[in-house]
Amino acid sequence: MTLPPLSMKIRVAEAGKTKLRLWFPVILVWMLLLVLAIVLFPLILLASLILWRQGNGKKLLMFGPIFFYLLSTLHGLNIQTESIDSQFSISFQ
Amino acid sequence: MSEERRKILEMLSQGKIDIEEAEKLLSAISEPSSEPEQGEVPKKKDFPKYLRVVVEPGPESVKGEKVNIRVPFNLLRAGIKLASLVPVDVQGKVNEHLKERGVNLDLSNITPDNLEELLVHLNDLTVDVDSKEEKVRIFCE
Repeated sequence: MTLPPLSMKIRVAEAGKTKLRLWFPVILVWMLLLVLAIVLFPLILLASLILWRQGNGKKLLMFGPIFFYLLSTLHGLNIQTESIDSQFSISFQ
Repeated sequence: MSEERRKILEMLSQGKIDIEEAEKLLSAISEPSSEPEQGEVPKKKDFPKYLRVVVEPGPESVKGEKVNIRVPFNLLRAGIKLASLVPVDVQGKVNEHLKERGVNLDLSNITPDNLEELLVHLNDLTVDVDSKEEKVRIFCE
């Protein structure tokens, strides 16, 4: 199982000058989301039991694991755009 | 020991085949088939890892825009799996909006098998568009 990316790099430049260069340990965000998920789990479980007959209960329960899987696939995502007077790049490692 | 290997070794011991022929037969039964059988989805290790979109300015480009995007294939898989969690009534609204924009796609018809088959065929996808203003390349790696 792949873990979510540990860090994110963002760079924004205009007219050749760097306006923003940020290296952020996104692992802190994932940990915060995990704590939030654990705290809210009883409520989510209750909501899924209520919605089970409508067919949405299972989807509600599966949302968390699939969202975690989505985060873990961000490894290697790299977006760079550049025009004459501006540059933007974001990457997850 | 498999039955085929046992038969080959028996023939070798009985002198019906020589060592070279036995070696060829053993390697033939132990080699996995290189191409998947019809209808069989190739293993995940054969899939490309990234979808790349590269846009470079052409000779007559005014804005000189460059784009370089690398999207992991697993992210595409996860995104489509996430789409399957969308409630049915919301899926209908999403499908309507897509149709209005000319995309005739039904989200409920996307299954894991369809997805894997699509990703297999994306492996051979290469799009090269050359114009005076820009060059667009879409490929998998």
